[in-house]
Amino acid sequence: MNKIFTAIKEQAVSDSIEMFDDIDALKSQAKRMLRMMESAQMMPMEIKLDDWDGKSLDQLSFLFGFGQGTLSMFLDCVASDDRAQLEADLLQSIQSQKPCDVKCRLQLNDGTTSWVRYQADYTISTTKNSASLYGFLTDISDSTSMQEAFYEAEEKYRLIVESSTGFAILTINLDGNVSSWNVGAERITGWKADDIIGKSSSLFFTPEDRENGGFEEELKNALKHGMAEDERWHMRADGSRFWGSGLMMPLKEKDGRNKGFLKIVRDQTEKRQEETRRELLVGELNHRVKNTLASVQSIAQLTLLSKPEPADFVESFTARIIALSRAHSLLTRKSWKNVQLSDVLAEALSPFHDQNHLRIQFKGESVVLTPQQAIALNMTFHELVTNAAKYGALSVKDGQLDVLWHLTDENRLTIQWHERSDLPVTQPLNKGFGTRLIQQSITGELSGKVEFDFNHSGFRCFIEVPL
Amino acid sequence: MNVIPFPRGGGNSNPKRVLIVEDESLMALLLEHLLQELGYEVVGICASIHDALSFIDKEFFDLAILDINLRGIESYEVADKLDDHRVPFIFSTGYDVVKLLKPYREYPTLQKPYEMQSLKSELEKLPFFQKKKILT
Repeated sequence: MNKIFTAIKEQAVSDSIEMFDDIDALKSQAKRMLRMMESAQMMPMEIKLDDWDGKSLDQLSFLFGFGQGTLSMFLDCVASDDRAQLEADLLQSIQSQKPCDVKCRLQLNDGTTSWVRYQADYTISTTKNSASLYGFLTDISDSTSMQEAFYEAEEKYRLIVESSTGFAILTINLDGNVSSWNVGAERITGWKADDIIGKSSSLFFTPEDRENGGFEEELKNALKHGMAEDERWHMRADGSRFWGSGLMMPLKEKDGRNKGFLKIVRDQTEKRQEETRRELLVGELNHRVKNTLASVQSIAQLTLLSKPEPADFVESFTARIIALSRAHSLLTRKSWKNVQLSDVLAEALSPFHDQNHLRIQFKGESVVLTPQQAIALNMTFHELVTNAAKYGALSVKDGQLDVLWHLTDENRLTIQWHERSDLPVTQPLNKGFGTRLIQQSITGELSGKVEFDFNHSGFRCFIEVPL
Repeated sequence: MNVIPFPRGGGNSNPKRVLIVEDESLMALLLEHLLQELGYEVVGICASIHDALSFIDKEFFDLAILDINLRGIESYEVADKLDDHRVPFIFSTGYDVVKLLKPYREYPTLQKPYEMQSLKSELEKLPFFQKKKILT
C-alpha cells in the first residue's frame, strides 16, 4: 500500500504545484478534497503541541480539515460522559510521545450523539522544533451502534441463561460431553457446573435410556429435525429422578457445520406425577363403573331366578340396587376410607329403621372397614333385613331386632343378628339368592364364617370376619 | 380355605368342571349361574389368590375363569400355576386389556360386564375343546 501511496503522491504533488498560482483551481481542488473526506467519513485532525504549557489541553491549537481553533472547541463537542476519559487518553499519548487511538461520542446539534475514532501519530519535526498529534478523525457511529446492540443483546441472553433457576440450560459438544451448565441445571440436577463440565452428558440420562439408545436418539432427532422434543425421566446427582420437559437443539457454526447441542429442560416432575395420578384415577373410576355395572347385571339375572313375576322382580331388584347405591354413597362421603361398621349398618337398615326405630337396636365398638368389607357387609345386612321385614321379626308388630358386634383380640369381627318375635321360625333364608349372596360374601369374599340358627326364640345369624 | 362346593349342573352326564376365581360375590354368583346354564359344573369359587393356589393343588378341574384383580392384587401367580397344570383359563376383568402385563395379553379375556353368549364362545375357543369336543 505504501508504494502505491508514494507513487500517487509524487504524481499528484507534481501536478498540484502548478495549481498554486491559480487561486480558482486551488478553491475547486479544496472543495473536491472536502467532498472526498465527507464521503470517506473521515477528516484530518492535528493537535499542535509546541505552544503547550503542559497544563490545560484547552489552549492547544487544533486544526480540523481546513479549519482551526483551540482544542477546547473540539472538547466542548465531546459528550460529557466521555470527556474525562478522552482527555486522559490524549494526555497519556502526549506525555509518552506515543501514537493514540481513542474513541468518544460527539454531541450533535440535533441532540443525538455519534461515535468517532481518532487515530493519530505523535510526530516531532526537528527542523521546526515542534511536535503534534497528526491523524484522522473517523465517523464510526454505524459500526459502533451495531456492536453495542450486539453486546447488549448478548449480555441480556447471558444474564437470562445464567440467572434462569427454573430452566436447566446446558450445551453439549460433539463428543457428547457437557460444555456449559447454568444455575438452573445445578438446581434441578444437583450437579455443580465444576463437577459435570467436561463429563459425558449421558450421566443425567436414565440407565434405561442409556441402554436403549434414548440419548443418541434424541441427538439424532435434533440433527434431523432442527430440534428434538425432550420428554423423559432424567437422573439427579443423588440418583433420584426428575421428569424433564424441554428441547434439544443443534448448535451450528457459521458455515452450517454442527458444533454441538443446546438442551433446555424444565423440571416437570410434579406435573408428571399429577398426570400419572389422574390417569390412575380415571382408570380406577372406569374399573369401578364396570364392576358396578357387572354387579347390577348379576343382581338382575339372579333376582330373576327367584322372582320370575315382573312385579316381584322389580320390587326385589330395585331394593337391592338401592342398597348397593347407599353403600356407594356412604363410601363416597368417607372418600372410600374410614368407613365405620355402625354407618354401614345404619345405611342398610335405614329403609326399615324409621318406622321401627324402637324395635331395631344395634351396638358395638368402633370398627373401621375397608371398602370391600363395607360393600359385602352392606349387601349381607340388606338381605337379612329384607328377610326380617318379609318373614321375620320386623314383619310382626312386637318383633325385635338386635345387632351386636365385637372385635376379638385376634382382630376378628363377630356380629350377632338376633331377631325376637312370637312367630314360629321357618327357614326362608335357606333357599334362594339372598342366602347364596350372604354365604359367598362372608365366607368367600371376606374369608369369614357365617351360621344361620333357626331355634324357637327367633332367627339368629352369626357372622365372623377377619379384619 | 373358603370354597363352597356346588351340586353338579343338570342335563349333561359328564359336565366339564370349572373353577371360578373371583372376589366379588355378585360376579361370582352370576358366573356360576351362567356356567351352569351352559352345562358346566362349577367345582369352586375362590375369592383370594391364596385360596385359588391351594385349590389348584388339591382339586381336579378342566378350566378356570380368573379375575385379574383379587383384593387389589393382580392374579398372575394363579395364571402361572394354571398354566403349569395345563388348565386352560379365561381372564375376566373390569380393566382394559392393556392393563395386563405383556406376557398375559395373549390369553382370552372377557370384559365385565359380559353376557352368556360371549362367555360361551370364549369357552368354546379354549384349546381343550379343540382336542376333545364334548359340548354339542
